[in-house]
Amino acid sequence: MAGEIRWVDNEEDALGLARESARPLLLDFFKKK
Amino acid sequence: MGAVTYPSKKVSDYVSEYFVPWRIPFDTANNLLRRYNVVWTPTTIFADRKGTECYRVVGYLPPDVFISYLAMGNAETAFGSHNYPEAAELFDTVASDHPESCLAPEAMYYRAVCRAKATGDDAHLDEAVADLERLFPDSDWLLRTRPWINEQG
Repeated sequence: MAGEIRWVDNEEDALGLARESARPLLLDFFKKK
Repeated sequence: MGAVTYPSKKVSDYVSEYFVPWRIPFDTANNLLRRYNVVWTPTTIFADRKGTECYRVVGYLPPDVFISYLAMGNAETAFGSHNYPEAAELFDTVASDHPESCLAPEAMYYRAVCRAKATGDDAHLDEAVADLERLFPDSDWLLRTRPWINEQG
């Protein structure tokens, strides 16, 4: 069954959300096709 | 990872519940590649709220295997943030929920470290030695407990 992850794509949003939600970050470095 | 692993419901549910997920294209002009010293894809980095790396996974893993690494990354991030009670619980989850994983003995080792640091009671280290001797007698993680035995014996 497919799930959906709501990725952020910039540092400002990532750090802001991490601070607000008290959650750690998962950084996915991927190769564009 | 993007085609198979992240679309898995089990993986996406775990990621959405426990992390802020941030996708970064592997582009040599991207400063984040240098900052995190990323040289291969896929690379998954687990970082604390300030962006300090605590754990990384390099290479593709299928959903059923990656889920154990997500739990490990979560535990390592709590450990790196010196949140030892929470880290102990999360390492316990890795060891208990993924007993067949190659991560299980490492999780048992760190579970004991976190329990000892959280409580000041080194008896937790003895428990880890006993668990590792019983379940993973050939693991390098048992070898790493040797100084604990010598110090106490």
